[in-house]
Amino acid sequence: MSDVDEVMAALQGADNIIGCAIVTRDGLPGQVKFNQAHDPESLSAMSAAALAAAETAVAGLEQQGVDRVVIHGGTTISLLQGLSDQHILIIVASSRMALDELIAHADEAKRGLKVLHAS
Amino acid sequence: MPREQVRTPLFGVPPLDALVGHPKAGGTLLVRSDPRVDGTPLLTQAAGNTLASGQAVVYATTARSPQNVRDNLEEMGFSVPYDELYFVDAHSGVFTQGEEAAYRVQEPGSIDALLAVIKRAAHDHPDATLIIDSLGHWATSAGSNAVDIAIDDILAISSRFRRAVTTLTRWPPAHDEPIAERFDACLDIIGVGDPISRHSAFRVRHSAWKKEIDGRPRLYDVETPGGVCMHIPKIAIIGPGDAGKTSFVRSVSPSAKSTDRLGTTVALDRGRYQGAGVVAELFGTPGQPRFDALMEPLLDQAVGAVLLVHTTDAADLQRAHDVLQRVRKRGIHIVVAATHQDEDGSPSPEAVLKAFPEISDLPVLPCVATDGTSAKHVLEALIASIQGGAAA
Repeated sequence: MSDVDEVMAALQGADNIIGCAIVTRDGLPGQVKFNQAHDPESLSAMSAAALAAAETAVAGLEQQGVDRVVIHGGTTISLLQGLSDQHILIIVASSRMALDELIAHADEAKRGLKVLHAS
Repeated sequence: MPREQVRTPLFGVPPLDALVGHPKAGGTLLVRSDPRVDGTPLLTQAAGNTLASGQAVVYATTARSPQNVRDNLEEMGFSVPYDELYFVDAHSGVFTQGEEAAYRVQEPGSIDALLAVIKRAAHDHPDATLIIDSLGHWATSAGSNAVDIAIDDILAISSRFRRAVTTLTRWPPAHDEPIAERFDACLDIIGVGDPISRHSAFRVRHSAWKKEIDGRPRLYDVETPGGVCMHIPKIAIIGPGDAGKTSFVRSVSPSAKSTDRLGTTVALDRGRYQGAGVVAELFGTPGQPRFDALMEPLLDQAVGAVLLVHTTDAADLQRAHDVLQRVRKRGIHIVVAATHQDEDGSPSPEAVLKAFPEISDLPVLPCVATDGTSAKHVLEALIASIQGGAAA
C-alpha cells in the first residue's frame, strides 16, 4: 500500500469523516474516497475554484499566501488544503467534528503525503 | 450674436456627446440630477474637455470654491491650462474664503448681483463656454422660487456665450419641468440599483440638437483619472478551453486578475477595460465543462459577450456551441472572435463561420488574444453594438 493509499484510508476510517479526495489545482479528480453518492467532477472543479478564488481574493493583503479554505455547511464541514503546487486535499466531515480536530487530521495527512510535495 | 456652430464636442465622451447632440452657438443644456446622484462631475467633464480643446470656460460657482473645481479637474485627469478658465465666484462671499477669481460676486444671495457679473463675463469672453454650478444651490440662498423668477434672464445671459451648461438638483416635490423645457437640451441624472450597488445613469429628456431622442437610461462612471465614462457593468468573455480568454482579458486590461492553475482558468478572469469614453467590467469564464456551474452566475446580468473560437475541431465547436447557447438565451449582444490568428493553421473567420453556421448572424472578427490592439478591436466592436442597441 502506498503512502497515499495509507493516508487516504486513515482519513476515511476516522470518526465523523464522510470522505476525502486529492484533486489537482486545475480541478481534475485524482484519488476520491467517499462513502456516499457525490459528483467527483464537480467536487474537484469547484474545490479548486474555491481555493484559487480565496487565494486571489486576499492577494496583496495576505503576505504568506492562502492554502486552506473551510466551508461550514449545515450538516457538514469541509476543508480544502493545499498539498503542493499541483494538488489539493479535500476532507468532508460531519459538522459534529470540531474544526480543530479536522485541521489536525489535515495536518497529519499533509505530513504523510510528503511524496506529493516534490511533484 | 451670430457665431459659427460650435465644433468641439461638449463632454469629449463620444457616446454621451452622440446622444446629446452638437450644441448650436448660444445653446443651453440643463443637467438635472436626482438628489442621490452628484451631477457636478458632468460639469467638470464639460469644463475640462472645453479647456483641453483650447477654448475658454467661464465657471460660475455657487456650491464649490474655485480651488475645489480645479482639484476636481485634476482628479479627473484634465491637465489643462488654467489661463482660459475664468471663475465667477459666488461661493467665497458666502463662506468667506478669499480666493483669486476673475469675477467676484459680492452679494451671492442676490440674483441681480450674480447675473450682472455673469453678464460682464459674457461681454469679456463671448466665445467661452459658461458653466453654472449650480442653479439649485444658488436658489437655496436666493430663495426657493428664485430660479423660476429669473429663468428668462438666466437663459438670455447664457445664450450670449458660445454654449452654456447648468445643473439643477431635483429635490422632491420637483416642479422643475417648466424650467427644463426652457433649455435647448436637458440631461436627467438618476441613480439606479439598490443602495449597496448604486450606479449613476443619465437619460436625454430632450435635445434641440438631435432629430431623434434616445431617452433610454445609460450607466456612467467617473474615473479618477479618466473623467466621465460610459459604464458597462458586465461583459463576459467566453469560449472553449485554450481559445485565449485569459490572454484576451489580460491584453485589454493590464491589471486583470486571473485564477488560473496549471494553465487552466479555474474560477474566473476579472478585468476592467477603459477606452473611448467607456469603462467595461470584464468577466472571463472557465472554458472546461467541469467548471460550468460557475458560468451561470458569471453570465448573470451580462450585457454582452465575446465568444472566442480557435479551431474548427468538432469537439471544440461543440463546446463553443454549448457555451453560445447559454448566452443566446439571454438575448445579449455577442461578437465572435476567431483567435490564434498569428499561428499557422489557425482557421480564418471565414473558415470558422463555414464550420460553425450557428454564428452566421453574428459578427466574426479575426483576433490575436495576446495582442492588445487586436483584442481591443474586438471588444470595441462589441461595445459599439451595446452602445447602439439596448441600454447597458
